[in-house]
Amino acid sequence: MTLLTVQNLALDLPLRGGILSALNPKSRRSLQIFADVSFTLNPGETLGLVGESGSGKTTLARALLGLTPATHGTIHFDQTARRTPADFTAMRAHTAMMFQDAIASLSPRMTIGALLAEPLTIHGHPAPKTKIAEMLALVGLPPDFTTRYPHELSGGQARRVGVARALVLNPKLVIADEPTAGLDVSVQGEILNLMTDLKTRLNLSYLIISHNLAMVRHVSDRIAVMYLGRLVEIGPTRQTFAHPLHPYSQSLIASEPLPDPRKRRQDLAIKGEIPSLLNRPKACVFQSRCPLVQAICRTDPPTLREISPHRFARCHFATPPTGALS
Amino acid sequence: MNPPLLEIDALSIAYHTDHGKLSALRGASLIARAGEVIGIVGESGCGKSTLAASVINLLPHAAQVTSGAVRYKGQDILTLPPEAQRALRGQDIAMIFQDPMTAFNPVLTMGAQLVDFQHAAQIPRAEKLNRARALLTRVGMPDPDLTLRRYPHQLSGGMRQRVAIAAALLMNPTILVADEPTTALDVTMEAQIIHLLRDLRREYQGAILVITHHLGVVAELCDRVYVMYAGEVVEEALVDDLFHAPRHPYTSGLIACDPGHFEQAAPILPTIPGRLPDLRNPPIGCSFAPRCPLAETICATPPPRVQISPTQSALCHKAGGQP
Repeated sequence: MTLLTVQNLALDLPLRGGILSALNPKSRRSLQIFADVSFTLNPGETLGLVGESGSGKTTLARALLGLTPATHGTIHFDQTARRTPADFTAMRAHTAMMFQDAIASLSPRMTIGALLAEPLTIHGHPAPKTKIAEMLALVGLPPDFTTRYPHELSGGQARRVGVARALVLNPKLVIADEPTAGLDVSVQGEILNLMTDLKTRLNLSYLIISHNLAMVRHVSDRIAVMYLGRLVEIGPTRQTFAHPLHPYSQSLIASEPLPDPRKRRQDLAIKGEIPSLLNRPKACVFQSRCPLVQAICRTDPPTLREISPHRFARCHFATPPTGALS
Repeated sequence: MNPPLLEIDALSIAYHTDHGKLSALRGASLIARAGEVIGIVGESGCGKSTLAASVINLLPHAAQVTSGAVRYKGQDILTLPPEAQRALRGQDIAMIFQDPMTAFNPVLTMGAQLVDFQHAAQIPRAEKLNRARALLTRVGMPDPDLTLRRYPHQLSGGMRQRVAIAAALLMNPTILVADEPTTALDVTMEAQIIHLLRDLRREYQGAILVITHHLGVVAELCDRVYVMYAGEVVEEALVDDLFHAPRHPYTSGLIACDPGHFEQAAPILPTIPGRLPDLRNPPIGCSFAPRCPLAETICATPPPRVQISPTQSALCHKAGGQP
């Protein structure tokens, strides 16, 4: 039984036009941020969503929680369809978001205690001091943090408060947007280990959004790769990293600089740069940078199809991996 | 061996803050020779950006050089009069900044700025434009003439960083300082910039200093590396030795923490527990001892700089033994 099912989700944002478009509503244009996004998330599972800036990862996360309403498609959470703002409010009592900028997501005028009590109050629960102390202990912060203000925290501590705030409502699903961005590598592990530990203890599901492939690889059961508003590949993490099916996933994995001078990359995995959303290529979105591009890629949009068991890719030429791993 | 182009000699720099004097650099030494790519690596607050700023003497007003020297071709640049320092900047020593957005003036075209950067050159404007065009082609800008007419906001982050590299190379500097040159970029653009810098070094006669927190960038790009912790250079090594035979426990810890390091997924990631020491009141002994898995009582005394080989040294009591 899945916890979250997303089908054909799409989101368009209106473009602000000039004075003429204000007079003539028909000429108003909109910009497609993402489209045709379908995936599922099981209870207790971690899905890593990777992609470069502008691929639509963060907007997708916001749409899943109803913070930016989707234009098309369906979201089922806990076997219930979520459409109206009221549906999403009810859903948000069981889900939580860890925002990208940990310090900026905490109000500077509220104490940590008040920040941790806030989600409880919003959803109409009592917020006893014991509960706050329990949450601080859960994320490994001392109890005297209740009276501190966000500016007194280090980046790592602010992340821990973010984790505590996400978990205070006892959610089933946590969406973490770049949970380690801006953290030093020696501290990054602490947050990820804490998240892994809490996942098993509280039976959480995670959707972790990041551009840091090396990190996502260690914490995700499955991985979804996004490019220009399309999911181009989704599958189990180990197999995807060993034999990526989509040419974009291949070049993304091959672009990551490895911390070993004996494994220097000699040739460039991918040339050019991600096109603007305003000039999204027709048919296959990756055609402008793809090393395998053929005529069909410019005329027929590929669909996300199952290439081998549990592995999906949006490419006309994706074939099952040959070799030991299946 | 070439004589050093740049020699930072036991440099100490302190910042005056509201809460007292903060020792950002404590006796850091570094040598860069022509043709070398030097990596300066460390986590936030280790002093790597202060070290980079000292090379070009762009230190903020609150900074005070308490001891040591920065010698460029044998001459201490920190004691030069401001005009002489200004003449060195850009012409002999150029810098690529982390954020290519703020490195350019938003209301001038790229062409105007690339010409301005050559104000010291006694050549006609048309020639300056030609030089800018040639360098834009060199750094892989697809349409240099169009780029010259563009404003910074019209270029993507990766493109701006290419133009920033072209701008730094305009006056043919002998020392190029790149402060986190790929941090603001996505992974595919990062790979392209690393590729470009590696490509440029073949024809470039000077020394390149790359300041970064990213071990992957160091491994891909550098010849020699200085690892910094709490304002000190804790290890100096050739890049291969650094990754395959590190001698300072902080270096080993840093490499172990990098998730890019493991072949297989690790459910529990290694960390370095503890925090940086307070640099307003730096410890007398080894600054890494409170976080070090090998620490003993002797580590409360100042650690020696142990010379392991002509190219490798570590600031550690325990570096003398076998690795």
